[in-house]
Amino acid sequence: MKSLEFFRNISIGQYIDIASPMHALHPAAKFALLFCISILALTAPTFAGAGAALLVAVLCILLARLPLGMAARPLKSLLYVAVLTILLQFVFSWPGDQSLRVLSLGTSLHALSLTLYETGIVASIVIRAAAMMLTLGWFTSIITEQDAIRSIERFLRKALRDSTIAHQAALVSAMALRFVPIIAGELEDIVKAQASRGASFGSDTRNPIAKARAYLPLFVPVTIRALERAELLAEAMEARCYTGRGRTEQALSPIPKSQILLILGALLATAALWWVDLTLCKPWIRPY
Amino acid sequence: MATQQKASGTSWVRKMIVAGALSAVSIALFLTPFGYIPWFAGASLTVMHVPAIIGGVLEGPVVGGVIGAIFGITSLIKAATAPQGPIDVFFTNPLVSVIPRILVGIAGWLIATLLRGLNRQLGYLAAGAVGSLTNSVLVLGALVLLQAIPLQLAASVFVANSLVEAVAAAILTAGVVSAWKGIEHGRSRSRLADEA
Amino acid sequence: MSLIACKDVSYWYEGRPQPALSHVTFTVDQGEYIALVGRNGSGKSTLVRLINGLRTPSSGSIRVLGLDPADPEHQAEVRASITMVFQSPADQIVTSCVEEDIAFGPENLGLPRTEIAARVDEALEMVGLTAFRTRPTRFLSGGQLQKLALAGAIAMRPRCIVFDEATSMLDPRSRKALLELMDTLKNQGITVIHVTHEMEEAARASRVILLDQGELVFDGSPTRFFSVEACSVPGTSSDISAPASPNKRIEPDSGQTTLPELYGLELPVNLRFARMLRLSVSPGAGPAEIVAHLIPSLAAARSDAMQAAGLSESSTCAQIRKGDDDGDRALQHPTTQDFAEPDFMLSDVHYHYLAGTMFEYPALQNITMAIPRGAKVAFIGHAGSGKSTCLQLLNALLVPTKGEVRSLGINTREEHVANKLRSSVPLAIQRPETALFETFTGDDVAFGPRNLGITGAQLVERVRTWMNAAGLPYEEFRDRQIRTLSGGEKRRAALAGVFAMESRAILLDEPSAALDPQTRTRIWSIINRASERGTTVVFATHAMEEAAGADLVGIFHEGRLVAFGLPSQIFGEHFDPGWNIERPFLYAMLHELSVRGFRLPSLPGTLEELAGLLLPMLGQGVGADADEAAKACLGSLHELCPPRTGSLAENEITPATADSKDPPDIPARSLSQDKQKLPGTDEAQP
Repeated sequence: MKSLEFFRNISIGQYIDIASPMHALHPAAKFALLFCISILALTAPTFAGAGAALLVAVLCILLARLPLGMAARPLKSLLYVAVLTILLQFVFSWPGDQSLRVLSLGTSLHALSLTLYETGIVASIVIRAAAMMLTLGWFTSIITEQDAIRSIERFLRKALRDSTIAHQAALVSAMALRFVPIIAGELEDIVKAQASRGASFGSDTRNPIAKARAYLPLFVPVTIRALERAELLAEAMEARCYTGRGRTEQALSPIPKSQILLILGALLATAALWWVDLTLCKPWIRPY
Repeated sequence: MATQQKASGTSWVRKMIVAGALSAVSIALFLTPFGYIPWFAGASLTVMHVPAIIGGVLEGPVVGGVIGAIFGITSLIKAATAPQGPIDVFFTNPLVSVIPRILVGIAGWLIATLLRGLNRQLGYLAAGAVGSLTNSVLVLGALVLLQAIPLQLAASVFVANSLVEAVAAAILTAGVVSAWKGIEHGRSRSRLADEA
Repeated sequence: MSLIACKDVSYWYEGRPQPALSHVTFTVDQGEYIALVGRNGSGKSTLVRLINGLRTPSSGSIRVLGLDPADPEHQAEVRASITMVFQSPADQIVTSCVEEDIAFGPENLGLPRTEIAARVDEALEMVGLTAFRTRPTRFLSGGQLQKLALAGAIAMRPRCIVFDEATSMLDPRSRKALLELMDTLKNQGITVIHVTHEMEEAARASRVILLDQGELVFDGSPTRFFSVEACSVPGTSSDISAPASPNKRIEPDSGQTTLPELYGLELPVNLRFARMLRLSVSPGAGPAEIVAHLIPSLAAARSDAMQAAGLSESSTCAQIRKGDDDGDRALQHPTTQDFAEPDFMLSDVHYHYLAGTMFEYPALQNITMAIPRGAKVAFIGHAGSGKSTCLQLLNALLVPTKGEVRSLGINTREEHVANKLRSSVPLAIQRPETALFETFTGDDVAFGPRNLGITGAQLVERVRTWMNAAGLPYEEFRDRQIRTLSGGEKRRAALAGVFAMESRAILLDEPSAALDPQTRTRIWSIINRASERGTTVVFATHAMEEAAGADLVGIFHEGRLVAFGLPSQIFGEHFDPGWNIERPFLYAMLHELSVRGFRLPSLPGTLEELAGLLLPMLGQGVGADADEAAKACLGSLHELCPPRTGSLAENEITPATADSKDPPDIPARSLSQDKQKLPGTDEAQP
C-alpha cells in the first residue's frame, strides 16, 4: 500500500539561480527570444525552419549554462512519439499521397507503408516538439514566475495603453500561482477525509456516470473551498486599501539599448528564417 | 467570517481572484493524479477543464476564458518541461493546449446563459457537457490539423472517450454550481427520507 | 475626538429576519486595548467590518477619526488607519513573497518606493520576520503567515489594528507570540481591538466589549466582566449599557454566574477555579498567584490542625520539598507486552514526507507506542511536531517509511485491506467541515455509513443517533442545506458523519480548534459519548485542558514521541519544560502546591475534586457550625500531611524525609473502573 501523499510543492516554473549571459538578460529580452523561437518552431513552413529554431534553442541553453542532462530530459518522450507516429503513419495513409515509399509491407497494400511524405510529417512533429520543449525548458529556468508576470503586465500596459487590463492580467496570474499550493494541500486533505469515510472515488465501478458521481465528494468541496477562499481574500485585499488603481508601480529597470537591438535583431532574424524556409526549403521539400 | 454578500468593492477585483482560485483548482488537479478519473484499459477521463466551465457559468465568459487560458499555458509548459507521456508532445503546441481551453469556459457560459430561462439545473448540466465537448473537439481537431493523428483515429477517440468525459463534466459542473448557488438537485429533501 | 465612534449602529444581512447588529453604541480612544467578545454569530465580525468600511451600516452612524468609513472618498484613509488581521492565515496573504506582501498595502496607497521600503523593513523587524524577507510565502507556517499578515497591517502605520479571531487557528506557541505582539503594539500607542471568544485572551485586554445577538451587552473592565457582580445585579450596574431583552437573560443562580457564562462563553479556567474556592483574584492570575493566595490559609490551617492533633510542626512529615527530588525515573511507555489487544501498535516508525525527492524531510522518527482498546488518547505538540502525521499513519493514509504500524491488528502496508482499514478507523481531519459535499446535512452524515454498506432503517437510525448526539436534531436538520449551517454546525455535522460510522476506533485531528466555547462543549459531548461506548479515541489537540481529560497523553516534539503515559505522569513528575507547552491548569495547580510543600494524598482527577480537597482547609467553605468546620479541616489535613505513624492514613504516601528518591509527589490516578486497566498505574505507586 502506498501513502496517500503527493507532491505538494508543485510549481509551474523551474527557475535555476545561476549566473549566465541568459540570466542577465532583461525579462523583456527573454520574452522576445521565447516568442521568436516558438513562432519559428510552431509556424515555420517546413521542418527545416523548425530545425533552425531547435538549433537556436540549443544555443540558448548552452548560453544559459543549464545542465544539459536536465534540459534534454523531456526529449525522452519524443522517442515514443517518433515510434508511435511512424507506426500510425504506417497503418494509416494520407489521401493523394503519391510520394516515395520508404518502407512497405507487400506491394499491393498501399496502406501498410511509410512514404517519404509521411516521414516528413513525423520529422516535422518531432523537430517542432523538440524545439518547443527545449525553448520552454530554457525559458522557465531563467525567469522567475514573478518576473514573468511583471513583464507581461508591463508589456500589456505599453501595448494596450490601458493599465487596468494589464493589472488584471497580472493579478489573475499572481492569484493562480499563489493559490496552487494551497489548493493542492486542500485537495490532499479532502481526499484523506473522504477516504476515511470509505469513499472509493469510482474505483469500484465501470459505469461512467457512477464514476463521475463518486468524484463529487472530492470535486465539490475542493472547488467550493476555492471559491470561499477567493471571497475571503477579496475582502482582505479590500481591507488593505486595494482598488486596483493608483498603486505604486513596480520599479522595473529599463531595457538596456543593447538588448533593444538584440530584440530587434531576433525579430528580424526570425522573419528572415521564416522567409528563407518558405521560399527555399518548401519547394524543395514539398514535392515528396 | 462568512461573507455572504459584498457591500462594496470593485467587482473585477473579485472576479480576477475567483478566476485565480479556480485556475489553481485546475492546475492542482492537473498536477496531481486527481484530475484524471481512471476508466478502463489505461484510458482516463480528464476533468481538469471543469473549473473553467464553472468559472464561465458563475462569473461570465471573461473569467471562464481566463481560467482556461491559465490552465492551458500551464499544461503547455508542463508538457514541454515534464512530459508524462507521448500525447504531451503534441501539447507543446498552443493550438492544442491553450486555444481550445480558452473556449471551454466561454462555451459553458454561453450554454448556461441560453438555457437559464428553461431550467437552471439542466442549463448547468448542458454547460458542463458542451464545455467538455468543446475541449475534445478542438483538441482533437487541432491534432488532426497538425497531422499528428489521422481523422479516423480522432473520430474513434471522440466516440470512445469524449462523450463519456462530457457526461462526467456535466455531473461535476452541475454539482459544484448548484452547491455554490444553493440550488437543489431536483429534490428538496435528503435521500434519507427515502430510506427505511 | 475619539478614534472610533459608533452611534446606534444596526446592520441587517439581506434575507435574514434578525439584525446582525442592533443599536450598538460605543467609542474607542487612541491607545486602548479592547477585547471584543461574544459567541459565534453574535455580530463581532460584522461590527469590525463596519468600522473599516467593508460594509455599510443599515442605520446609525460610525465615525473613524471623524470620517465616515463607508464614504468612498475617505475609505483609503480609514482603512489605512484601522487595519485588520483576519482569522485564516492563508486567506489574507496576497503575493507569493514575504516582503512583497508587506509592501502590498503601502503600494495601494501609492506611496513612493523609498517610503515603502522603509516601512517594510520596520514591519519585518517588529514581527521578527526579517530573516524570511525574500522567502516564498508558501513555505511559511501558519504562525509565520499570521505574523506576516500583522506586518502587512503594521506597514500601513495604522492608529488601530483589529485582530479578527486572528489567534484561533494557531498553535499555542504562535498564539502566545501574537498576543505578545499585541502588547507591544499597545505599548507603542496603537489601539488594539482583539475579536475573540477565548476568555483567557480577553482577560489580557484593558477593556471588554461583549456582544450577544447583535446587541452590546457589556462594556467595561475585564475584572468587572469576569466578576459575579456585573451580572447578579443587572439594574445597578453602570457597565451594562444595553440591558438585554428578558428572554435572553437566564436567572442568575445564587450570585454565582458571570456574564461570560451567561452569554455562551466561559469563565477562564483560573477564575473558575478561584470561584470554586471563593477566592477573588485578578483575571490574569496564574496558578502561582492563586496558590500564593491560598498559602496563608493553608499554612495556618495546617498548624492549627497539627496542634489540635497533638503533633508538633517538627514531627510531621516534611512538607517542604528538598530541592528537586523527582529523580529521573524514566517514564514507562506502554509497550506491546502490556496489552492483550491494543488497537494500534507502532514499532520504530519513521515517516519522511516526499521521500525520494529533493524536498524530503523527516516528519516522524522512532515512534514506538501501543494504544489500548477503549482508551481516550491525546496527542499534544506544536504545529509541525508530527501529531497529524502520526494520526494519518494510524489510519493507513500514510505508510511508514520505516517500521511497522498495526491498526486493529492489521499491518497498514497490506494493500488489499487499506481501503477497508481506513474506514474502520476513520480520521476526522483538521477542519473536517471542508470535506462536506452533499446538499443536505442528513446525506452527508450518511455518506460514511452508506459506504460501509449500511442501508434502510439501520442507516436512518445511525444518522439519527449521531445527529442528535451532535446537537443537530435529526428531524430538524436532516433536510437542512449544508450551506445554510453556521460554522459550528458544519463542524458538528462533519464529526457526526465520522462518528456515525460507529467504528471500533476513531481518530480526530484538532476536533475543537477555532470554535467558540459552547460549540467546543458540544463537540466534546459527542466524543465522550463515543468513548463511553468503548470506542478508542485518539485525538490531537492544542488545548491542554482537553488533554488533561484523556486516559493517556502522548507528547510530540520535533517529530519524536518524547513522552507517552497517564496525564498525571506527563503533567506531573515527568513534565519537561523543554517541550515548550503549558501544564493543564489542574496539574499546574498541583505542581505549584507541591513546589510550596503541600502534597495531596489522593490525586484529584478534576478541578472540582481539587477544590473539594482544598476548600475545607480554607476555613470558609463549610456552614456556620464551627466544630464541623474544624473537623473537616482536620480531616483533610491528615490527608494533606499524614502523620508518620498515624493510623488515619496508612495507605498514603511515604514521608519525603525518609528518602530523597521518594515516589512522585503526584501519584498516578487510576483510570475509571469501566475502562480496562492501563499500564503505568502500577509503576507509579510502588
